[in-house]
Amino acid sequence: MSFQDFLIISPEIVISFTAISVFLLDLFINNKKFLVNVSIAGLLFSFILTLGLSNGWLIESPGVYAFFSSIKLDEFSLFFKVLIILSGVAVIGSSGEYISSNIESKGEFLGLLLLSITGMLLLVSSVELITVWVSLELTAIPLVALVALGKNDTSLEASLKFLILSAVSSVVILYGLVFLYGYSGSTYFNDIFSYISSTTSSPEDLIVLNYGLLIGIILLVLGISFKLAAFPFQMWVPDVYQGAPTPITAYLSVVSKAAGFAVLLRIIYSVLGGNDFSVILSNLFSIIAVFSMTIGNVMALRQNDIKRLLAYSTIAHAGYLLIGVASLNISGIGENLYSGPQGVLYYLAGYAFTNLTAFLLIIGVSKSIGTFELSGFAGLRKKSPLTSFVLAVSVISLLGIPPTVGFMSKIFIFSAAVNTNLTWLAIVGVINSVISAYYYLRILKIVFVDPENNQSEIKVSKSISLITLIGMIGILLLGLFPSLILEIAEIAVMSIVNI
Amino acid sequence: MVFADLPTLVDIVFWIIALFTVCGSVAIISVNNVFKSAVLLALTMVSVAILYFLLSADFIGVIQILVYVGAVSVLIAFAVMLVKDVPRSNSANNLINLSIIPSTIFLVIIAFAIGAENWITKTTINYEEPLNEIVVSNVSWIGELLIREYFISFQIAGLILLAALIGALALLRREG
Amino acid sequence: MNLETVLILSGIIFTIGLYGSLTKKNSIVVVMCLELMFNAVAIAVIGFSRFRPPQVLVDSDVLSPLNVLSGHMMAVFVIAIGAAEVALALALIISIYKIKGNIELTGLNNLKN
Repeated sequence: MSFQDFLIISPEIVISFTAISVFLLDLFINNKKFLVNVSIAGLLFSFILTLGLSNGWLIESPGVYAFFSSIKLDEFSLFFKVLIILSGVAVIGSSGEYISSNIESKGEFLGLLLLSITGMLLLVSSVELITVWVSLELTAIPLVALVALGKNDTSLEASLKFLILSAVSSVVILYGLVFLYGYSGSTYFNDIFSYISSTTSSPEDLIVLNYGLLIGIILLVLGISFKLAAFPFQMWVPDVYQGAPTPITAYLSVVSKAAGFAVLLRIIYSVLGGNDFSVILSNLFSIIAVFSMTIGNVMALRQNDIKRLLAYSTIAHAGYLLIGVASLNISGIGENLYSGPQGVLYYLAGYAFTNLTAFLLIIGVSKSIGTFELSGFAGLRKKSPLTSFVLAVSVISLLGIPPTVGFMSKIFIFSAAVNTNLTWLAIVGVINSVISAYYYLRILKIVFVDPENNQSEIKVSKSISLITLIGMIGILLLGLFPSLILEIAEIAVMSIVNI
Repeated sequence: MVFADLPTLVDIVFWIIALFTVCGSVAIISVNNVFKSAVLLALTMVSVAILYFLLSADFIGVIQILVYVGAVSVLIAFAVMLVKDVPRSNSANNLINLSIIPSTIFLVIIAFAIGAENWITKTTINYEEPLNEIVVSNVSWIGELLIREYFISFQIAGLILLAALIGALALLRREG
Repeated sequence: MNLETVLILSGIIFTIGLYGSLTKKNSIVVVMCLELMFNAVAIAVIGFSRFRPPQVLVDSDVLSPLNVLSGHMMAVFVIAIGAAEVALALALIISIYKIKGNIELTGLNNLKN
């Protein structure tokens, strides 16, 4: 372990130390607003360090290993680190008011959230089985407590459900990782990759003979579907999203999903890459994608609670994203203009902007109207035109109408599917987008057309207004100039492909 | 291992312990008193520890007894007694018939994959002299690996324990 | 005693744990079933490191402690983190009990409206 090793994980070190100092400061300081500022300062400092790592200020260039090849800093992990840290800043920055009025243990709330962010950052950069699983647990265990810290009655019950399903999913992931280890005899991605390459000469060989490897991969994918909020571990999503404190819901829907896709893509392309393993995997992901999209969109049609509705929409979006994962074309990366993983990265960046904007606005608005029922949003246009405009932009982006980022990301995902002969999957995706129009447009109808049914005044705090405005600008900017992210995404994907 | 040159004896012990472990696991979910389940869990954990000894993982067997039998089972027994007002019945929910199907499918798939894979088991691998030492007394090597190759995982595990501790405290303070 | 029997044993225990965690009402029993699943995985990983020596050697062709013992390391982390998870789960169950006087898990859709 050299000094450079610690430099490489300096963003994580900074955030975990911030978490510990928040726990300690909580004991001595009465002004809890200060704790929010400390957390944001820590996150911003680690953001600067991440930029330093990517620009070569701190280390020579990305693509280096640390801690005996357990951690790899490459463009892929840097992409997700920036995404996760900025989402964390948005969630914590806009929830200061929510925390002071709705959360009893404020220091613990912030510190545990920071610990979970640390886990996400380590997860996206780890290239060793034990490190992957341990970081996965570091993301999950603080979240269990965070879900339970909400004040409403359902929080505890939602938290218990979350704990049990998260433990089941992590033990299934672990079983998958154990089979990967048992098959190859090593816990390092590179060694597993070279063993798989050395034993398999032809695609048929891999499918017919290596059941040990195959069962490991299947268990891994099934377990990770919990993190992605996808079928078959999707049933926790609506209850937990409804019961959890709303900032945690926003965090779960964006950051947890992004980290899950990061580890999934890394395992597919770094561990199995180069081998033509794509037929079985692509079928598996297609099935999961179809079920997730359909369940999410059909169930969302009947919801009257906005958090539940967005929970089902999250499941549907996990399905769209899995179309991109299913479009496996390992040898074609770099040749095709729009490869599947590149689309996934672009989609995740756009989805972070869109969903955070929607959820943060809901935090602001529901505080004034005092309910999460859809009917409470009636007549929002008259009360607060700017708020309803921003909400409309984010809903349009979730639906996927130009000129928003949601439209462009669906275009890239579906064209990647068509490029890899998965046209039927793209068609299912389009049909599902049409179904989803019903409930998204229903939100818009309630906000813009329905007469107002209560006289409460809408007062959205300054921090939420600022962050959601930035989010709206991001939605439009990324929608109009997709190359801003696409080029970075291509470099990021290239950095994890093992051939 | 002491029994290394008497494979049949190891086999007999293994089969007895395996049978005991499976019966214990079935009993945990089928006895009708939760407290009995907690005691059975402790016994099952002891038999799993003996399995580890048979598989020449002495250190893991020791920490299995220390952590699971000494801490986790006692913690669970305490929890059972703390919630004494609720019925201790171990009844099943409405998923009981539905769950048999996925569980059976799961077991069949796992068993098929294990049986069909051609595991190249070199049981008689020619461990060289120093490696024999590694396998037989592995404690010092595990300690060394923990602070060298798996240093980062070790630190993350520390953060997990911190998060679990603070989370549990915050939860119990919640209603106060 | 060979690799297949150890793995099948681990699979059986894992399935019993999975079945129990799906069907039991009492949340403490569900936590016990989770522990069974953690143990099943640990049995599998110890079996692998005992019977299936490294197929890929990290340092060229020499068996090192890392090659032989990485399965044991995995088991160490599984045991440690399984215990942390139990502690948190029991804290959650006790606080639910204090508020509701009930620790039963009732289906998966009881939060609906």
